[in-house]
Amino acid sequence: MNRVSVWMIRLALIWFLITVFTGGCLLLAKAGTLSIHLVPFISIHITTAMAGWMVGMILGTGLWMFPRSIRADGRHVRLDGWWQPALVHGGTALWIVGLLLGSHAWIGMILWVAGVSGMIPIFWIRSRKLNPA
Amino acid sequence: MTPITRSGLRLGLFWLLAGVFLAGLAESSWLNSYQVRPVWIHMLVLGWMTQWIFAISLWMFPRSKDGYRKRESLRTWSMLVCWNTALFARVLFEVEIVETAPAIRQIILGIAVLLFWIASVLYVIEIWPRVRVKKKMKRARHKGANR
Repeated sequence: MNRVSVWMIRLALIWFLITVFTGGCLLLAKAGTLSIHLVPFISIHITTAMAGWMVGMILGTGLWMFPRSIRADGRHVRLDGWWQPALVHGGTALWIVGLLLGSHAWIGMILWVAGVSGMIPIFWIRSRKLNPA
Repeated sequence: MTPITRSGLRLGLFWLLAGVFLAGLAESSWLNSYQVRPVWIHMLVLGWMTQWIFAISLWMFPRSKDGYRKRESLRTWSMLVCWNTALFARVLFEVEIVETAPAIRQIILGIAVLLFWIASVLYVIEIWPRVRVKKKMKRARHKGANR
């Protein structure tokens, strides 16, 4: 597994733990066991689940599994770097901080969108018909 | 495909079918759609999507110690049992499909939350060492060959 995928998946696993923790708190609040302010918790729960866990895990695994693109001269097409995964996970973290603070969550969201958008060309090029030779 | 992966994928299919069925019912006038919405959303997200991620990652991610071991540990089976039991309890008691006293509902949902937490920690403990850089795998294999 390449280093970028390893860190992308590991960070997604951390988001997964946070998602399950916040989801559990919400369920306990719904049952009346726990008294918390629900609105920011719901937003944090959904953001960590979708932006951090699901997207992070799927894109991280895809980076590992998809065949690398090779040019006619036999060299790899290198579009993937650290900045896209850093923006995906860093953007998610800033998004959560913004939700906790109650302002500027859009900064994290924009960074996250930039990270995901930056990964699309990688997957676009790498999802191709296999060379019959 | 390993037995745990097969079980996870099939349980995921069950939750997918149940979730889609409940979503359809919720849109009809038979059920209170607002109240039932979190139940079918969680059936799809926790029961199907997350469980498929569990099952496929357990199948595909390289194993840590003996790379060719096909049997899964007690930990992964416990994870699968805890996750599905918790989800089942949640579905039954979150919107009071089964009528119970509030105190009993609180206890059952509390146990469900605990089972979700245990299952997620067990999954992360299982999968974390399997997410690693390739060079280390080569070194480990090389060491094994030298023994």
